[in-house]
Amino acid sequence: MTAHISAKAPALPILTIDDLHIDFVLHTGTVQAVRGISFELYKGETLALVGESGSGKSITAQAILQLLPEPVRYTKGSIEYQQQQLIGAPTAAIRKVRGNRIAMIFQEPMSSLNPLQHIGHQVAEVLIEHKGINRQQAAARVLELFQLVEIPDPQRRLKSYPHELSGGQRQRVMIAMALACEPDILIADEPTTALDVTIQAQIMALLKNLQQKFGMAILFITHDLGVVHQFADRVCVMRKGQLVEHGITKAVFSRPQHPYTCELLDSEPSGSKPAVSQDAPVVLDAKNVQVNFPIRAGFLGRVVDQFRAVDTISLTLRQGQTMGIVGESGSGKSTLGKALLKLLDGHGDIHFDGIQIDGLEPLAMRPLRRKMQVVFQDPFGSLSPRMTIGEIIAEGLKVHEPLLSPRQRDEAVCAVLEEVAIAPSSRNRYPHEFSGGQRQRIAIARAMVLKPRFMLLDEPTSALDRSVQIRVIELLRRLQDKYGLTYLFISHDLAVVRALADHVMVMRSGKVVEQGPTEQIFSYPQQEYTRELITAACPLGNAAQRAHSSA
Amino acid sequence: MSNATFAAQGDSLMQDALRRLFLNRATLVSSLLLTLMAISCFFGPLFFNTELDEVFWDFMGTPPGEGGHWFGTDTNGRDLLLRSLYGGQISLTVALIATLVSLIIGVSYGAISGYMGGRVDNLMMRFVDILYSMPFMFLVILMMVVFGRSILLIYIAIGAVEWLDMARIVRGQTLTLKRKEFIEAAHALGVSDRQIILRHIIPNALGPVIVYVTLTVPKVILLESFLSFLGLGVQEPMTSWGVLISEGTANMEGAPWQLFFPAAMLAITLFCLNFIGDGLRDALDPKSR
Repeated sequence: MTAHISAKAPALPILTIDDLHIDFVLHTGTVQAVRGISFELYKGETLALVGESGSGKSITAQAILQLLPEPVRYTKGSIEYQQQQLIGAPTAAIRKVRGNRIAMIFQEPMSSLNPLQHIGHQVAEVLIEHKGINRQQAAARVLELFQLVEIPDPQRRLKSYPHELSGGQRQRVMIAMALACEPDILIADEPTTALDVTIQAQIMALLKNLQQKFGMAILFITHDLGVVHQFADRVCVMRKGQLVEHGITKAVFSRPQHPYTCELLDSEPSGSKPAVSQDAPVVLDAKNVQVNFPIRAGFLGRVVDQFRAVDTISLTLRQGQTMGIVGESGSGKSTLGKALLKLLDGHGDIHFDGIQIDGLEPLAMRPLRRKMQVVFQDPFGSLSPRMTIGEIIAEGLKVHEPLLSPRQRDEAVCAVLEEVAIAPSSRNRYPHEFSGGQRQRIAIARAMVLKPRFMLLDEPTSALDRSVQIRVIELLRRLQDKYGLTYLFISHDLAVVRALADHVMVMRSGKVVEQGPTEQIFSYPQQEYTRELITAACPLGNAAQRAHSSA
Repeated sequence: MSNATFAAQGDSLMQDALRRLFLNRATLVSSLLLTLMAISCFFGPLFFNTELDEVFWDFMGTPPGEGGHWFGTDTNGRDLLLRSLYGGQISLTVALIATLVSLIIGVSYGAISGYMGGRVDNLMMRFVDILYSMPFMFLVILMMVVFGRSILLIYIAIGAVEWLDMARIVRGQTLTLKRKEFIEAAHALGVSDRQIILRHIIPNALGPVIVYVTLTVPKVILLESFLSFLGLGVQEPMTSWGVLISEGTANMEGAPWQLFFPAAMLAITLFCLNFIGDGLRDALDPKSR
């Protein structure tokens, strides 16, 4: 691990982390978050720290700026910035480094900005603090920075509030703020995870561009191997607080040494789904679905206008089919899904199993509910924290099969837990005791216990790590084969959609851009927007295949 | 970490909560102390061979200890210990009944209002606003006129006013909970609105509710003493902690014990309630173990 593999190999590293150990002392015991990490960062290079959630990558980054909250203990090792020890350095010394020499950008640009201040003011604050210049000079410099990070109409944007900007623009403001003092090192902690793929590509290009301009080093923290492959010079793979592999990006991707790295590279979803035959029975048939949200104004909440979230969409789902709906945030894909299940009000002819369900009363709808189930994105929000998972799964049975005895219910719960590969003995535990992937399985079990025909999967894998994702995908495939389920799969993750769906619909601002069989859409996209989406997703496909052939 | 070792075999949330409640030492001690306080208030007077209003002419406002009066006597020469115990009966009952009334009305009203949303919510909350704007005293006097004077009425009157705050708190909680995905998932399962409120909304809103209840109890006890002070609450010779404290405050300079003892009993009770409230909130949250 001491052999320095550097793409550029200049004389001295600007940041050296040596055998770093970080513990958190909690009343329940000590958690060893980082266990012996060493790496160097050289001027002008991009080093990626890759790992799944809980691997300690963000903790390492925060330790560099000494941002970790109590009760943290640096038990061993050192963090040196240009020969200056940062661990245990006096607060005044750290403050000189923070934001000035080493700057950081975070994942969620909304919560990193003060919602009550103009963005121009917030960026100026950094300059005034570190450079000791006055307000006028700072304002001029902010304008320059905004031009640098390519914020459209920078003069006007100075006086904008964070909520008036899009996610990508907010991240640009964060980058401007980080660059205000021309730092030597920029730490980017998952800077694009909360953004859509096309925006992600723009932000990454901007970072690369700025790096060339200023020659700063970027420490890039991410779980997205596709981004690493395109942008990083070197990569450090982390797992459970340890560095498992470390080297030049191309080398690591084409010849991974450690089995965990191989596993990560292989966890890109693969495979495809054959189309179902044209005479399979129709499960869901929707014509001209529209969803309007009223825009209210004035004291009495008068409806002044309609926002058309879903604009006249028709679709047909046959038994055993998986239709993928892709699109960026705000494209109306989730709204469409919910309208189809009548979880919110829409217009249009919707037939489920031959029964017209639009305009059906909630009571009349209830028997149909058991046949159409939903799995949501957030595995932490979709399970009630005060019920055991047994109770959560049994709830649907209580509604739809009230005649079951408690023992029969319990048996059904155990059976379905077994099906999703969760130990039935844990049915008396609460959701928070399970990991994200397990919770998503529980959510699937809750839907499966009712033996539905149709499942709406609303970004079920987006909040999960790749290696966990792949297991959820396998589970969904297995259930579909076994029970002939029909899926409507909503996702912004093209790789997952490609692996799971046999038919794809691309949506943008409530309209269908393009639809067709999966392979046709991915291989021969007809529309400009579809092409843009597919390119921006930086697929790892080629690299992973290379890894296969050489392994 | 902490939950890795937790037994796979579990019970319902309630049993589970009770068990965890008594693992909390502060809560355990507080519950014991509160039980002791309640027992001595309700059964203690049986061991006295004097009456509540018996006047000891030789002991007018004497300090503790003299003539076998452990808490001393008040300015009228009545035994303060006995009066404090009787006062405790009234104050504890007021606390219990009024808080329960406010809890039941407030939680159900707030949960329904928040969950229904839209016009129903608007109407229900405007009704609360109207009640808020009614002067409390006016309400109590009105009830006195209509139903005649009784201590039970005081309990109901106080509870009927206190639920307004509770309803607002629960409504606020419900509004945030309503947007959570697990509520939407329950909808998708076909669970009825009533069951969603009972099984999903109320249990998840309990945390702030319990904290608020522990704040309501002292408010209620003091409100009762205020009413009694105005002559609308308990009547001499009956008394309550609030009355004793306000009398004690008047004689604070000459006879500090008249303030100290009832105030200490009230303080102990409130401390215990706070610890129990804290413990309950933690115990009802499965995440905290």
